[in-house]
Amino acid sequence: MTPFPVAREPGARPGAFAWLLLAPLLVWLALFVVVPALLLLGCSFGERDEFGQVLWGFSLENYARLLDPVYLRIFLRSLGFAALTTVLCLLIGYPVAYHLARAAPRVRELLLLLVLVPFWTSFLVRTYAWMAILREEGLLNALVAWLQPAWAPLGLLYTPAAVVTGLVYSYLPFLILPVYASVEKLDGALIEAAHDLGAGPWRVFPAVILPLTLPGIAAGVTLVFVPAVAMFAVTDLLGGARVPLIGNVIQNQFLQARDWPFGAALGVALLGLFLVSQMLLRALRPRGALRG
Amino acid sequence: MSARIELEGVGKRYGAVTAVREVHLTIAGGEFLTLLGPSGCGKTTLLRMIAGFEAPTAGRIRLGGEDITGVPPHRRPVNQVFQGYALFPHLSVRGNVAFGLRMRGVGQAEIGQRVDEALALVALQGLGERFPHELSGGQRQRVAVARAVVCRPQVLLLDEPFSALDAKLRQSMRAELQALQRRLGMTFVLVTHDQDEALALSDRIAVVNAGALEQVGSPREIYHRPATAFVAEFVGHANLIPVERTSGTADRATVRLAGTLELDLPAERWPAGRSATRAVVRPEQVVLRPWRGAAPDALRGRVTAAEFRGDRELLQIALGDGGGLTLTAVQPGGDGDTADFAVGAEVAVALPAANLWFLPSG
Repeated sequence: MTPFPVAREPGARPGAFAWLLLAPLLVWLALFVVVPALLLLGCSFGERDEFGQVLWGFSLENYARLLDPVYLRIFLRSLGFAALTTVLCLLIGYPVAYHLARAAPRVRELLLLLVLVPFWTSFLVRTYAWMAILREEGLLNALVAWLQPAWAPLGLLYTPAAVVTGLVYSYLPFLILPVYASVEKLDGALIEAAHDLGAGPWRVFPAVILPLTLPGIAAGVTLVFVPAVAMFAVTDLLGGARVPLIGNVIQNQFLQARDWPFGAALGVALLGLFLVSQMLLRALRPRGALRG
Repeated sequence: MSARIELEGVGKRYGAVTAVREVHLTIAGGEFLTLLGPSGCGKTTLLRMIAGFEAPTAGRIRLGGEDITGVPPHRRPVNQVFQGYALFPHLSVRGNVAFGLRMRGVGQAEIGQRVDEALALVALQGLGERFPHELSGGQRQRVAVARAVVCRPQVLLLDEPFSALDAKLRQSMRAELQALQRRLGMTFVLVTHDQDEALALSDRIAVVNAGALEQVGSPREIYHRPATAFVAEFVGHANLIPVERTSGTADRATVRLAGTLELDLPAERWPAGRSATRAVVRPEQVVLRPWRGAAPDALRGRVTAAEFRGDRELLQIALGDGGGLTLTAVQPGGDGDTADFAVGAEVAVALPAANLWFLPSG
């Protein structure tokens, strides 16, 4: 009987029992991540016939089309929206996560529940709710009309601001939770040590708290930025067709234009972008022990 | 470089709970003072109030004559070695030691020089580029000490600095710390629950119990002339034997120990104004003889347990006519030839008057 596996030396090879436990995950990843990704890659080198069927082959035609300024602009706009969303999530979410982790246990449980409550309803329903808030006869405009009738109605829906609002709203918990976890792990004695060594309240944050919660920030930023770049539902509903982002374009290629090879090339390009950025993040990671 | 600390009626309450009650204590500049007490006695709260992490709810704290009661920790010329050291895991040894200087805006060149000096002081030259997780426990403690003393504080606070080390290392780090304190001439305030540590290191010990000071004195005073039963029992092992004064003159007192043994001693050794108290006898002061019949200076006892400790042997002795009293005695650890004091043996327990200390209270 093999002993139940416990933490091993880093770099140790997993034993047979570990492989057995990992098997379901590995099969799942192979079937639903690796195979589709390879299909996507293969498809991106193909062509479509006039009925929208994929003609498998090897051509770089689709990638050449990516260089069209129209698509480059959409790519850049998507990255910009996602970056703005990430920054706003960070600015709003970090203080929330910090105080959440430092709150008294009972308060913390309640606040954590509030962060998680939105997950109890469908994401689409919540996005429709934002439409109800932002549209011309919506809640926000009703408030504006009551406070400042001359301004009403404000055209809020189908604007970039509406899209970013929806994105921030959707992804905020994905930033709060990992940051919360890393703040909770932060040893309070380190903060006291920093004060003791002469760091005032404003210097403790950049000198100690920020670098030690960086792993949580990195996880949160990835969890927000990556899906935000490719998001199409929120941008569709809150941005209308006026602010197309890369997610909408890809969705269109597959569903409306029925140009799967070009959609695949767009998808592969996006995937490549994430891989490169993750590798850069890894390379920039400091040497100090920021291990769990 | 070293300043006097005065605690003037310092107290701390958390709602209805009193952690520290009205402590008056003056710590001289350059002194090594230990706050000794069981966990939860308030000694750490006292230290945290000196550091500035807790605000006292009563009293004032002065440092070198200056009132620092309301000064936040980052503006106090006081540094601390934390329990578990609290080294910054994202900074190298150099980064940790330089931290306090950077926060105080010291120039780059001076930082480099002072960090080198501090690392040399704790014999860590050459380890400056390591990270805390790459160091041994003893090295971490030295980094913590260097990080604090590099700021040249008026007072160095040490919160259980040896608790994370194993017994062997503890001994050598203790000696190092004491040598360092002598060399720097800095005021050290150490918090510990370990009486050995307190006795070995301190100029003076303040024994803390239930939020108040039981006694403040040199290690020898604390050990040989404890003020209360608590101090006697907390510091070292103490045999407490009921004793009453039966008669006497102006310069001699006659006392009766454990209701049977009559002793004559100089009157000034008996606490003024008391008719009865308890006598403290340390195990090494109990004189044992093989039982050869009743003697006027000895009680009759029987060895009930023996514990071999290498250099010595601890014996439990039940007194035959002492109202169920059990004493602990120490004998040099022999090579099995102390059959006179084997378990079950009858012994004569002599308690020379010169070895007794009479508790002035309690």
